[in-house]
Amino acid sequence: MKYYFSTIAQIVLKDLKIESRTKETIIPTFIFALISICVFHISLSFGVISYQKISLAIWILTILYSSILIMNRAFARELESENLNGILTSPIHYDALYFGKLSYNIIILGSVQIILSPIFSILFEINIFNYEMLLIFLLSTIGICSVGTTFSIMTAFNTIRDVLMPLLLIPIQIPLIIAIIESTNILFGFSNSSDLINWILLLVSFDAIFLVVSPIAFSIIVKN
Amino acid sequence: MIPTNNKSEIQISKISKYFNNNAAINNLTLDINKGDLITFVGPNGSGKTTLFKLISTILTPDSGTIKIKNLNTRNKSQLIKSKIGFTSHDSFLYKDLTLKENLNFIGNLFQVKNLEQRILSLCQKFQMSDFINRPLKTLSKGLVKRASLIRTFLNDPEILLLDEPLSDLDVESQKILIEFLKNESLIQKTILISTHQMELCIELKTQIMIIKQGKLIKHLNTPSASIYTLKNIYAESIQSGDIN
Repeated sequence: MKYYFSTIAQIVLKDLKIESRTKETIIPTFIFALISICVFHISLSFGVISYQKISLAIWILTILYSSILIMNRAFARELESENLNGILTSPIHYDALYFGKLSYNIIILGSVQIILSPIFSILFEINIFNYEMLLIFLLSTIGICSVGTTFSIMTAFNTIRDVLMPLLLIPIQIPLIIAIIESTNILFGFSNSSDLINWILLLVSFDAIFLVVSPIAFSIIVKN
Repeated sequence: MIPTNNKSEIQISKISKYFNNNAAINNLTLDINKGDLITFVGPNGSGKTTLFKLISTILTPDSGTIKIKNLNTRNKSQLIKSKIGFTSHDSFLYKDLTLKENLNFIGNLFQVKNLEQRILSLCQKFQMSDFINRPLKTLSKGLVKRASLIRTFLNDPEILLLDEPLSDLDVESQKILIEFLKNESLIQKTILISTHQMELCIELKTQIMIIKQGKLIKHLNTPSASIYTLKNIYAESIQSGDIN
C-alpha cells in the first residue's frame, strides 16, 4: 500500500516538476480561459439580458473547454521518447498511474480556476467565494478530471485526438454539467427549486461512480 | 516467491504478434537459460524489437505464452518487471528533467535500495557524473544513450534486454558498455542483445540467433568464429530463409 501511494506521489511530482519548467499546459489553458470569459463579457455587455444569470453557465463552459486542453496534454509528454513504455517497464499498478495523472490534472485545472475566479468575479459582478461554491467547484473538478484522464489515454495515440476528446468527453459529462448548473442556480437564487442537496448528491454520485469505473477502464486500455 | 529451480529462465512457446494483420512475430518458440548471453540479428523489421517488447511485458502476445522464471507474462507481469531491464531505441527519459531527477523517478518506481548510491556509482561507471544535474534536452544523443543505459541497469535486473545498445555511442562508451556486460555475464545475468553489429557478438562471445520475418531461422553457438565467417553465415541464412 505504501508503494502504491508512493507511486502516485512520484507521478504527480514528476509531472508538476516538468510543468513548472515548461509551463506548457497551465499558461495556454489560463490564457484560453481568460480570453473566453473576456469575449463573453464584451459580447454580453451590449446585450439585452442580465448577464449575471448566465454568468455561471459561461464559467462552466469555460472550465469544461479548458479541461479539454489539459486532458489533451496529460499524456503528450509520456509519448515523447516512449516514456509511457518506460513507466510500463516498471512494476507499478496501472491504476496508480491513473490516480497520479488524475491528481496532476486536478491540480492544474484547480489552479486555473483559482487564478481565474477573481477576474471572473469582477467582470461579471458576482461573488463566487463561499463554501458551497467551493464544494461545487471541487466536486465538478474531480468529476471532469476523473472521466477526462481515462479519455486522455484512450485518445493519446490517435492523430485526431484534439477533435476526438471533446466528442467523447462532453456527452458523458452531461449529468455533471446539469448538476453544476442547477446547484449553482439554486445557490444564487436564479432558480425556484430548493433541492440543492440533491444536485450536490448527484455530483458526489457522478464522482464516486467514475472514480471506480475510470481506473478499471484505464488499466484495461493501458494493458492492451 | 519466484521459483528458481527451473532450468529455463525464459520459455517462449509458439508466440505470435500481429500488427494490422502483419505478423511481427510468427509462431516463435525459444528457451533461454539463466546466464545465457545471446545476440539477436536480422534485417530491419524482422521482429527483434517486438520480441524484446513481448519479453519485457510491454506487449502481450496474440497467441502462445512467455514464461519468465516460470511466471506467465500475461498474469504475473508485475513480478516479472522488477527482474527485467530493457533498453529500447527511445531513451524512456524526460527531456525536461535532469539525469538525476529521471533516475530518481524510475528508481523509486522500481523501489531500488540505496538509490542515491546506485545512481552515483552507475554515473561514475558510464562517465556521466559531470552531467548528472543537467536536463536531458541539453545533452547530446550519445550522452542520452548512456543515460538510457544507466536507467536500464538501475534496478540491477537479472535479465537484460538491450535493443541496439551500441547505437549513438562513441568508441570509448562502447568499450565501457562491453566491459560492463562482460562483468554482468560473469555473475550469471541473462543478457539478450539485438544488434546489426556482428563485431559485438565476437567481442562478447555470444550465441547468435538470426531472425527473419518474425521467425528464428538459425541458432549459432560458435564463439570462436571470425567476423568474416559470421557475416557469411548471416548473409546465406537471410537469403535462403530456411527455418533451422
